[in-house]
Amino acid sequence: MLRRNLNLFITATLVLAVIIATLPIGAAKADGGGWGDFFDANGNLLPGVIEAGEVSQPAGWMPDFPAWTGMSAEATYHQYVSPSGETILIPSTTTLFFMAMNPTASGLVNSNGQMGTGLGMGVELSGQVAAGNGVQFISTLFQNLAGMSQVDADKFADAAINGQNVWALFSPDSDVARLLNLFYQLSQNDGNVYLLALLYQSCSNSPAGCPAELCAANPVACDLPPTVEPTDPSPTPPPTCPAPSVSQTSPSLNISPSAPPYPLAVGQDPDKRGADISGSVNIPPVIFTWYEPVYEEVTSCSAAGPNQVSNCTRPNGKPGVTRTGQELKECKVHVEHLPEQINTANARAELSAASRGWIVNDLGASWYGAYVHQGSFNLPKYGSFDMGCSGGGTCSANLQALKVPFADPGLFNLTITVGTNGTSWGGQQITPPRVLTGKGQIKVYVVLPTLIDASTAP
Amino acid sequence: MKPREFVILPKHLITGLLVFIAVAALGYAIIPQAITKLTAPKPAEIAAREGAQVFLSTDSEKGQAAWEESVCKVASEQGCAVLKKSLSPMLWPTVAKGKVRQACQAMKASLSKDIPTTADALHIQEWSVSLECKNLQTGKANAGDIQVLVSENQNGWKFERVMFTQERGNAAP
Repeated sequence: MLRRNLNLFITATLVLAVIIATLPIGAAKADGGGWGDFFDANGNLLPGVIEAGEVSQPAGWMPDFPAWTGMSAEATYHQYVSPSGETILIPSTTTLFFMAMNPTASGLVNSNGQMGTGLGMGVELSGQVAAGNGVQFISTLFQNLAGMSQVDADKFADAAINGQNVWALFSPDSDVARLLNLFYQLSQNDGNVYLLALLYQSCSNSPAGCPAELCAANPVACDLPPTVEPTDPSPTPPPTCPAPSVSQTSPSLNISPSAPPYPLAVGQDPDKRGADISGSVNIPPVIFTWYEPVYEEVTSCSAAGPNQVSNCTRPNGKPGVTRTGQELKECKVHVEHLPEQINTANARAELSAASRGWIVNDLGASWYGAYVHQGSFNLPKYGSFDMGCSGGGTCSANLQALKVPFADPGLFNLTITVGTNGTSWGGQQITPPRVLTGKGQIKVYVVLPTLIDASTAP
Repeated sequence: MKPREFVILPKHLITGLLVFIAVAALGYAIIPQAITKLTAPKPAEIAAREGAQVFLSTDSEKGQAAWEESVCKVASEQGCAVLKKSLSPMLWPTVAKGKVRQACQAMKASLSKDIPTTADALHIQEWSVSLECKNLQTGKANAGDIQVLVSENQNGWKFERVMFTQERGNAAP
């Protein structure tokens, strides 16, 4: 009986090995997850799936030896983990047997599906166990694994599901030795006989836990809080173009008399000549230099988000997802000459305070009733401003005020003032509006008669 | 009363000396052998002692294969196979991780159970073996008992395996 079961089992094992190697693992869940997250239609591992390989770890439900021996048995699995944390666990034959003996402690009942020889596919074991139907599954597992009779397997399954000590059911003549030998025979053909593949929706629920590689790449998949990608201690900023720059040569403002050389106060000048005043303002253009970034499309592999499936390997060797982005190729330089247009212009003449005092005090002492006739006035009413901008961007305002009738002698302060719009480019203000002022002077003379004692002349 | 006289003749002395020599020779020649024979370990016990010693004498530096070979030298064919395919993959990782290096010596052994030959199984004996294991790095010694299974085949008694703690009495809590 035992040999017949063994032969059947070995045959079934080989069939399962072929199934796993070729797939499709047909128990893919309807919601798109499950086995389909690990293998493509041709049975190849999908990108990003971590094959953790043979994993051995301590397990309290595995049998052991006294502590002083320095030995204890570890559970052994072959583990696949998807980027989202779903896990396929393929326990070694021995490990699977002891999992069946301790279905709750070993996490066997947490499996969300399994496939294997004679065990059916896609059985929701955890739900079955919760509903009390897991006994049948465990019983079938014992029969397949250990070649137990239906009666013995049912007894084992009952005890295992109820959390009783299954070891108590072993007969005194050491069935364990026979089982271990049976497992050896099962493993003769292949060092890693895949009797059953268990599916866990989260690696944190699987007996093997989550591989460190996955937790580093996707902490959320390991039920860990998301962590910020460690930043480079000396981060290199992404390449960018230089910031735009603005430069401008200082403007020139001049106002001065042009004729006659010695203008007389018009009250004393029989010709009423007055004086000519010239003014000029030159504002160089604003030089606005800006850089136009020129991008090209590049593809890179970067860290995956919580729900993203890895499909590439990052430069640090960890899984990531492919992203297409723009990368700066060059910076095209643009130099704009922006004219700073003049919107208002004025010029004034204002008698200095000293001259006012001289007229009223000094001159008034000799010429009773002397006073200031026109201490200040605008010059444009004696001429006109000519304003505009050249093709090079220089803006100017020129004043020619002719025969300005200065009525008072003395020193006049001349000012020429312009207001500008500032400069703008592409609807953006580059330089603000401003007011510029230039200064000059004009001396207005007076002729004063002087009494001279001619008798003393030689 | 006239005192009695014992006359020891030379022939009596020679005879006594010969008897003494014969008895002494007999004692030296037979008694130790008899004592040795009476107290010598049974082949099954030897198999249990040797098996327990080599099974627990693990040296992480020598490696898993060396350990398996040393056990297989004293084990039955089945015991060797079970060790290599079932037990060693389960047990060696803890030896390697713990960097266990120890040499064990069996101090005494006692028969716990004798399971006669059946149609399906060989003659099996379960022995309780007391060992002292010395840490090769620190010199510290640990001691304890383990249960060992040995089997008898046409080549005599051979080591099968060390029983798990849970198997003791088949009802460990």
